[in-house]
Amino acid sequence: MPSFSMLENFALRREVSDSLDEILIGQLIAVLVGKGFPMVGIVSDPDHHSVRFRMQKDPVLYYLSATLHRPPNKLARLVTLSLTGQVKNFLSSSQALLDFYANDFKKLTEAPLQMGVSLSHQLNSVLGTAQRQIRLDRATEPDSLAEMETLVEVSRDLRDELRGTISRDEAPVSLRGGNVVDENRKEPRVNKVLGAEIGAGDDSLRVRLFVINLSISGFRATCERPLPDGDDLQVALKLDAREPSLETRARLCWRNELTVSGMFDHGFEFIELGEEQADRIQAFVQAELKKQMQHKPVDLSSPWTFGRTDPTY
Amino acid sequence: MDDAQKESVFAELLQHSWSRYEELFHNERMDDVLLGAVVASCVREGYQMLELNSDGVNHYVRFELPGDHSRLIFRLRHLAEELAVSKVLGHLAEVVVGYGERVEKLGARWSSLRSEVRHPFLATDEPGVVTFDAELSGGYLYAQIPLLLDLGTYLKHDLEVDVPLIRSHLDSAVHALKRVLRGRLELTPS
Repeated sequence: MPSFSMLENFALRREVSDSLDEILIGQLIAVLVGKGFPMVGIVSDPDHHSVRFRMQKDPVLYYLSATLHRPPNKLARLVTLSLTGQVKNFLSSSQALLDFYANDFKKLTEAPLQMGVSLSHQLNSVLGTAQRQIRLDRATEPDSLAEMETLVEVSRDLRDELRGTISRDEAPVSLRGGNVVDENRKEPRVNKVLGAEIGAGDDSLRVRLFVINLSISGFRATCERPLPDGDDLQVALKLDAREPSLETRARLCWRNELTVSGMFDHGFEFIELGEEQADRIQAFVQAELKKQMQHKPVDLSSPWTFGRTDPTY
Repeated sequence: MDDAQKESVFAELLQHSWSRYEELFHNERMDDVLLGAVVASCVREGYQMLELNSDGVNHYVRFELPGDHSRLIFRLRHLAEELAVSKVLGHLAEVVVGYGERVEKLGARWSSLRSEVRHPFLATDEPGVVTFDAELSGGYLYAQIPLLLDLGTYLKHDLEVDVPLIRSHLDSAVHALKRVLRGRLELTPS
């Protein structure tokens, strides 16, 4: 028999119930590796498990780190999962480094906490962290892997927050494959409350949307309630109170419930956007960006009260 | 040199450094990447990960299959974390795969299996040598086998992992270990 027992290197907790946090970490690894993000680091100590993934092919994130804080006692039913998205600075000119830092610092002070994502700048990286609570006893349920799939979608919040934070037109930097590089960015960020009507037939909803991104491809918006699901929805966006709504068709690509705020985040893709509609969107986005560059930072503390343009919504 | 030329040289230095840094990073992290793929593969197969730890050199992971409560243990040690070594040897790694089942009267059977090997020069790390180990507190007996593998076989360019290949190799090893364990238990009196 071997004089060196491999089993001596395991803690050998006897029961599955003692390893629920490990089971959750295993599921997290399965989900992220399954999405094509290789695991590139492990730290495991009595207080927490941390694993790091290289976000290959992700347009914004370079790394995603997940930390599961072990429950302080055996009776604890909830554990905290922290997901930290990291964007790396690959700038190669001294001026770009300075521009990046100035822009980054400004943005961080403008919007330090959105969508439950906290932002920080450390060394050559900008980090966004979101935390979620997980029930430990769900770890062994048959659908727990599917639940983990949903949970890691919070990385989309991190991605959007970091994209919005780092990329600005006034700084000669942009993101490419998780790197900050010396170029101008392409996708603008709107952060605007707009009245809207969305749905199909009699099921349309009149709502106020907090529109985060808007382009001729589609838009991302949060709302207090879940918006209708469908591949062919009628959408009317009130871009300007003095003009008719922009009417088009769109499909719902994804929807997430935001745990912290209780709101719903949605991604819509426009279907067959006409030339005139595309022009209106581009003009609207350009005007908004111009405003953002000229005036004080947008106050995001009360997104439901600022920017009201049409009292009927 | 004027300022523009200095900026240009500085940019080249940084880009070259990043390129070499990436090469070193990939080489150092291959074992983590493979371990992640092993975890992903096993969890997708229905196993629950009970333990994951690392001492910086060896990585250990342990699983249990909820249906029959059988367990898998896996140890990985990258033998070529140094770039120069990997260029000569390839990404050689020492892997130990173990398969365990709950066994009745484990103490007696384990004593019997232990007594079979006494000669001090018998090597237990040769390929094909199946050894046994016991988790006495949990009542598990394991059959385990060491393997020398080239991690490059499983990793494509840019740390992309061939998960189906890992799964098939793990399945094959576990299949063999399960047969050996059950066969030896039949032959070993309790």
